[in-house]
Amino acid sequence: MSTIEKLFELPEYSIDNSTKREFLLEELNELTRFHYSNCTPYKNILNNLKIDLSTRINKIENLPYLPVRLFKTQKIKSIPDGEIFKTLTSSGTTGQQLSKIILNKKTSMLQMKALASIITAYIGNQRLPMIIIDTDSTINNRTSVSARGAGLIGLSNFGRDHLFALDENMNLKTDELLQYVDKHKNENILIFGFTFMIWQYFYKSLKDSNLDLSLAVLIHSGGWKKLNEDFVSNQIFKERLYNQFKLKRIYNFYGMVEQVGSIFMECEEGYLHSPNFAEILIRNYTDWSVLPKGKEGIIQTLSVLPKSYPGHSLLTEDLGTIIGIDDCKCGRKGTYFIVNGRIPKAEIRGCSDTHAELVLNSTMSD
Amino acid sequence: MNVSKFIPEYIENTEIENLLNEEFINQNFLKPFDEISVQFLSTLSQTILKHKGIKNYPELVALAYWLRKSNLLDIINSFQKKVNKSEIIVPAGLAFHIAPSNVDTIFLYSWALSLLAGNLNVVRISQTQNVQLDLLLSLVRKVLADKKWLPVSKRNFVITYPKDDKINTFISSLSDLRILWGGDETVLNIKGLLSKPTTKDIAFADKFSYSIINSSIYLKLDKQGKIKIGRNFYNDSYWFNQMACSSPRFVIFSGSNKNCESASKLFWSNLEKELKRRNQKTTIDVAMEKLVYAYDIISKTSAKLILNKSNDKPVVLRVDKNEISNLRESCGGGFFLECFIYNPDELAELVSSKDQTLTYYGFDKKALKNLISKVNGKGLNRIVPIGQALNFSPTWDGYSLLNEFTKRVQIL
Repeated sequence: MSTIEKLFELPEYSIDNSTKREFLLEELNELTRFHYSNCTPYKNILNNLKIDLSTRINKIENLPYLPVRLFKTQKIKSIPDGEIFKTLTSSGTTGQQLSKIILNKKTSMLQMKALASIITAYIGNQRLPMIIIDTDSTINNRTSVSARGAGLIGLSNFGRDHLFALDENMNLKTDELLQYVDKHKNENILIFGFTFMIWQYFYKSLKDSNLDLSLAVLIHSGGWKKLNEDFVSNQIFKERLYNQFKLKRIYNFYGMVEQVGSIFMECEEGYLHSPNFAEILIRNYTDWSVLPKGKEGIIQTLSVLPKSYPGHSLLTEDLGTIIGIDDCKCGRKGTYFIVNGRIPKAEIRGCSDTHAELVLNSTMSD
Repeated sequence: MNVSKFIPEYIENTEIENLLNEEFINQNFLKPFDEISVQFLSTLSQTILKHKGIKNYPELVALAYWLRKSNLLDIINSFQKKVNKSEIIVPAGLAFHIAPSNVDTIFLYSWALSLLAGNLNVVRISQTQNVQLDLLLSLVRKVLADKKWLPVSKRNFVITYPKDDKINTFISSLSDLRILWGGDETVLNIKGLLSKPTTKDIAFADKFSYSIINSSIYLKLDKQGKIKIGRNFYNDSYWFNQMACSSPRFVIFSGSNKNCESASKLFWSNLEKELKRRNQKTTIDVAMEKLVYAYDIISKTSAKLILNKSNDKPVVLRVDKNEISNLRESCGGGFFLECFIYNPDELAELVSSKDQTLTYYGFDKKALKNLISKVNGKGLNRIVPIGQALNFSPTWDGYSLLNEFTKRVQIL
């Protein structure tokens, strides 16, 4: 059995960290060598950093990483054009550069498998009736997929009898929604959507209803920037949705288009957990050294899934803090952590920037 | 069409049509180089220098020095020497200035020259707030609060408003002169707006600057001399976070490969020492910008990373001289490219049209004149010693500004 098969074979969130890191290290060493041989920009970077691949890198901390923004400035892949199966793009707004992630069939399949392993660990193996807080137009084009679309397509596999709850203009289809909930009233319903959209178009539109979602599970993701600007924290989000809909099971997850499938789900204690096939490290911005638990720094994500592009070790632009390893009260193993938001945007200075302030003010988080 | 006014007094949300009313537009101009204009600017200079804690803002100190009466009189005299006996200098009229967003204080230099020229001035500053700019504006207000400067305060407004082409067009339609600081996009946008048929545009668009060092002469410097070059280079590059048009973005070492190698090593280590001495710390956003830019460049060129152990240190990438022409993008914050050339004349081939300031060490004027005549207008319009990159001069971006800000009447 290959290492990656072992990681999938073992129950999700069950592997001791030391064993897991051994598995990851082996697989990530192999991926580093593979991408080095098959991706020129990656090779140039590693050569320049004098990374020696003639011997095995002995700690995951010593694996090279790419800043995630590199996928916005360049198209970086390790497969021939003929092998391209799908291209994912980040869902930025005007003025932002978009990430372009090139997938082959194998990577795409691994992503689905990983997602299944994580989600079923939370909701069980049964397909649940599913409400998607989005419009169906988000997933119409299946060869070039936005991050939002990729998330929806990925998660929709865990549901049945899907209802897209928003129309083209982001208005809630209230009547259809109420009928749907009534139709499935004694069942567990899976609700999925992007954090901001759930708050803005679902929660706010239903503030006066007496909708009972006590049997539902809500899974959401997509960043807190906009909500935090309105002083809505994860805590407040959960409280309000509970008070309004008796919705108890609410799980946020942290993930990015550059590592689809490799998501970090929130547990009942409010912490994000690394799954079997992924890990995080926190780095210090002053010299990029690895920080111990309890210290805030820049999040680096490692994942064994990316086979078609060198995205197996990425330095994100998010800040986070590791809370602990393997000993979360929720019972799940793995490194658990919190995300503390994005690195503050570089202050724009320069003779050339009378315009940039306006663009910056109008950007939204991915 | 609402704007906020900062100078002469602070007024939030006022109608631009009321601000630039008939009375404002039709008032007489001040005479070029009127006594009161010189007095006002030199009083501003003293007020800035006397401000407690001004030492924390070296850019403002430099501005105040530039506004000293003796310097202003030098500028005026050297301009007037070049005026023909048969000519009388008169103001150009109403000048509309678009200031850059975050080289906080640079607009004041061109405003000051336009004020000396006798023009009416409307300055649009950016919406971005920052400490230096706020301080500068409050000091200008403080001076103008004295009634004796009424002739100045009723002819000079500093305002702000969100990007609004209606307001830009309104002001343009009254302007004889538009002084446009900004990126290419901003400048093109404003140029595309209707103005008077006779409106003249002076545009300072995207620019790029760098340094050249004569390696063998640099190596002959004693320790103190090298430290001094490090300090001067620090001032050129780290004020304004290396994002001013004239901040050096790369350094060209000229000489034998061996000398360039040694000079480079000493040059960067002296810059590091200066950073350490000033306890210069990198912020998290700048550290990330520099990482992204460095990785981007090393992934697609033969560039070699020279220094990057601590993010408080400068990031330096050595690139081949043939690649440097394609690397005019920069993130600032202490991010440098370097390349080696054997003969300074090779620089001529690397110059492109966006290049503005060349700072140098170890070349005599003759060699530099030679070089510039080889470049012959392809780019570069300021050649100054290292340490003077940010010194504003009445000749800027190839314009003799007082010439541009005035008109000449010929009397025969």
